[in-house]
Amino acid sequence: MTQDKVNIFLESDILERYLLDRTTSEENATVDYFLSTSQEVRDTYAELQENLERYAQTYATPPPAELRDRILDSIKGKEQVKRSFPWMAVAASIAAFMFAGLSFMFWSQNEQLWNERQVTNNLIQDLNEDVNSNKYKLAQVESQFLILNKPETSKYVLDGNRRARRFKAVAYVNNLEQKSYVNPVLLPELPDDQVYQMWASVDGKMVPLDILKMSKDQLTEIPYEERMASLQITIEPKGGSKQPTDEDTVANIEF
Amino acid sequence: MKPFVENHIIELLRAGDERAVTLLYDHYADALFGVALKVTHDRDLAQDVLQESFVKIWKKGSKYDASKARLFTWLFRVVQNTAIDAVRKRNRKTEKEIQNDSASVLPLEATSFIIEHIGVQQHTETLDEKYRVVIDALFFKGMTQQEASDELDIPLGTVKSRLKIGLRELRKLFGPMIVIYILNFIH
Repeated sequence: MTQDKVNIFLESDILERYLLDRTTSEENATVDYFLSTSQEVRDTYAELQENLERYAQTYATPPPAELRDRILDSIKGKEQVKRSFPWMAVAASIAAFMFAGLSFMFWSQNEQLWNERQVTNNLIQDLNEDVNSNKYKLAQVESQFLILNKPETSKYVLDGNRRARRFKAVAYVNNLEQKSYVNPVLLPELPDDQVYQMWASVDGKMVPLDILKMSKDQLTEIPYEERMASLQITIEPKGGSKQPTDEDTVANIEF
Repeated sequence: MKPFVENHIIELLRAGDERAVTLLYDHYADALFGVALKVTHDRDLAQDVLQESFVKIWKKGSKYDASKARLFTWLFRVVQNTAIDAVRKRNRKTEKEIQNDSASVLPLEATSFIIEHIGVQQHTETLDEKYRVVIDALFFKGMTQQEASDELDIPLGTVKSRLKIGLRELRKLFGPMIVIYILNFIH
């Protein structure tokens, strides 16, 4: 019996209706089940009964004195309904017990299905978010693709020098759209404390563009600089530098 | 009711001892007559209801199951159901004669009763009217929650929540009373 199920049961009004004998036999079986398995439900039911008695006492009214004798006289000679061996009660108890079990089983299944439905809903929501995210990425790729295919987009291949022979990257610059991208085709591995940094020569000054990350076949947009005269890749300490370390240049291309 | 007396009554009931009815009457008649009056709004009918209820209680006494409900809860149910049946029977009889009055099977207007438990009554009156009306409709007028919703013209969900909150409020109201009762008992 989970606390959630007890809470859901107590949040409903079945127990209050059970108190007033306003429940169906199916609901009685459910209440009996909870009463037999949960101390919290037993305490709540006891409290409800106490409240009922106290509240009823507030309306207590003495009946006429003669009523007492009338009632006691009417009882005299009246047979009580005797208790024979309660075959029917035993059968009813077994049936009620089974019914309670079934009720609880259905109730549990219902809860489980409801939870599964919630999980499925969450999954669908996640999938929808993935779809939207992919759509967004696709739109970005399409946009990049369009720019790359425009006649005014120039392509520059940056090959590594002796410092990093296997280094290869391709840069795309579109002066009309003022966009530039880099595709790091192959970045030889560096020690953990070093990175590849890209620079642009603008009006004789070296402007830092971006740190190149090893993401194969991944076109990355880099900051566009007007009047770019050349592109340079250097090896810099982790985090990048403000000025390029010329002796650690691995690739350079002039436009 | 002290558990000892309650247990004694239950034992007598089960043993078919008529003294059980005398004890039941002496300990519960006022509260049960109050219930019958609240449901019927008719002193004569309430007396008949109480008599019929005690006969039922006596006859069914051996079947009372203390594990299902406290003694008072069981007695309350018997009286309440008997009273509701009596009111319905009466209303069916007089339907043609008092069409206007019978429009509402169980009218909600309060009637004045002799209240012996004045302190308790005043205490209960501090319960917010909106909760009291709902609890009275369900406890004493035998309405289902749907009937109370229709009669009081409030949504079913509100009836349910007011019943729950009202009962919780009662606990707060009665809590201090028990302390007073115990203190009186000690002195």
